[in-house]
Amino acid sequence: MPEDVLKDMPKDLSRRDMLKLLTVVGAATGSSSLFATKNEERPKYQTKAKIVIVGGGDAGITIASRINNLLENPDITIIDPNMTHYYQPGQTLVAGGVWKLDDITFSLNSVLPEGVKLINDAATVLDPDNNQIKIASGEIISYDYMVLATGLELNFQAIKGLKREDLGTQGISSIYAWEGASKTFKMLQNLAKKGKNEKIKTIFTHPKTAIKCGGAPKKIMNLTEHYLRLENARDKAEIDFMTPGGKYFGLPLYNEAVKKQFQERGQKANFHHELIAVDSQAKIATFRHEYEVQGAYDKEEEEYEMISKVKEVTMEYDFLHVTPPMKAHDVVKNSPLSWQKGNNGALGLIEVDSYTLQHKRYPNVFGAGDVIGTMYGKTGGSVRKQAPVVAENLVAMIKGEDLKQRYGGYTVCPLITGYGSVMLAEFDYEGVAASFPLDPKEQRWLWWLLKVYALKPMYFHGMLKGRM
Amino acid sequence: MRRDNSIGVKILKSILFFIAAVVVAVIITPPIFSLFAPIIRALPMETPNSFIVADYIGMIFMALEGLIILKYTKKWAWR
Repeated sequence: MPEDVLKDMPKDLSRRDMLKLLTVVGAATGSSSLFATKNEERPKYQTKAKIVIVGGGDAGITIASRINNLLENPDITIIDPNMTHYYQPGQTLVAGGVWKLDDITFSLNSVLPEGVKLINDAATVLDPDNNQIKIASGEIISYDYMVLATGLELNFQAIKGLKREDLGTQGISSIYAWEGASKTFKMLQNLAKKGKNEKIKTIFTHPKTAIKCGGAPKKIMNLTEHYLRLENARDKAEIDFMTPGGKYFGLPLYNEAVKKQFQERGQKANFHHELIAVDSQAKIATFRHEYEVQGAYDKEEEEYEMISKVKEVTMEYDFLHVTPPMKAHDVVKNSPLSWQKGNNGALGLIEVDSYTLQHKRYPNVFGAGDVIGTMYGKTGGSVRKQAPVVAENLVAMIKGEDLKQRYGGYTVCPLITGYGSVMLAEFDYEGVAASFPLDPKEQRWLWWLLKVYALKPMYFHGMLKGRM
Repeated sequence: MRRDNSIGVKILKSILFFIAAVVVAVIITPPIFSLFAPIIRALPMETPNSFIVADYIGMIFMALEGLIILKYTKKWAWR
């Protein structure tokens, strides 16, 4: 199997690709949706409005920078209990041994925009009816405009028998937690040693909830597969991907491409399987499996009735990568700002307009990042597109103007398919949204270079500074 | 006596030369990469360090190509 895979691995750089890329590189870097966002120089508007941003992650920081660029001496406060800012897109690379934890760990102060105040405490109550936020110290913070960018909470405890503290032990890993990412590479090294002599079983899960960076479970699975192959431990390894969904990828174009990748690498997709319990001592994972069986023939409908059934499936593992269920933090979930019904309500995601990112019931509240209940938009690339929309619309509102900026749902997922290869999946509310005139289903070394060497400088020197 | 071309002619000549040089680079680079990348990636280093080394060599190679193209565009076409 491994030799077949090697033949099918991506071309480093085909002549045609290189020609296409060089032909368009100037225009692409200047105008593509991957890189460009409008940030022209304009006279700054003066206001005494008090703007509070809850959450100091990439969305909060970028929006603060953007507003800073638009207003003269703005009164902006960020509330965040953490003093560490993680470059989360790099957690897969840390897990794959390409980077170290230090490469993605920064102090929040080092990325805080100039003039922006920081309250290093957790928001405990959001009271949009009175334009107030209560923080853990008991202090009440008032605002004129609020931006919610609190991200998502990793809900490991929703899986019976699993705790975040288990990561890195008993073969349990998760790149979604920074400490899990940092322990994963050592686990892969040990797994490869074992796999040289005996059979090994690896399982990668995907939860039923919305998650940030939806491609990450596949990224770490692909890196694991490639790592085992490079270490001559692939032949004895079984790789299972367990998902409650029924597809490899939401969009048909990428679904077909990812399906092919699974087949080429001998990775097995198990649809309609949701991880519900882990016995870490026995190394057994339990899944809730939904399936259908054929019932009686319906003469009127002229087809067989399909009966939905549920059963529990247990699987032993040597390595279990858990993508935890995710939800909004309780402070958001329990506030009037969250969706009041449906899946978004169950997760506590905030109810914003999908295009203006303005709250549907509280017009002086905007949202961005993982916590908003939009169809797409839970990646760093999405935030880069959301931030200027929120900043421009918020400032338009201060000025009493119409909200003109629209977020089109742009999301980019640099899907790592192995060391040295990435498929750049870009899409928005309307479908595939490739920035370059190259086949978006192809795995390329160029996109690997983008992911590993270019996106991080773009993030820190462009996006977080409000420049791109 | 040599006479300098006008700026417009220089620009046109440089663009054409640059495009021609890029086409040559496009033709020669992939075979070079496909020859050397697997060799570099197979260096006896702890995984994935050999891939990182290959990345850097590849990027340096492409940067050098770009510099060479610019240098010879200036030397041979900008006149």
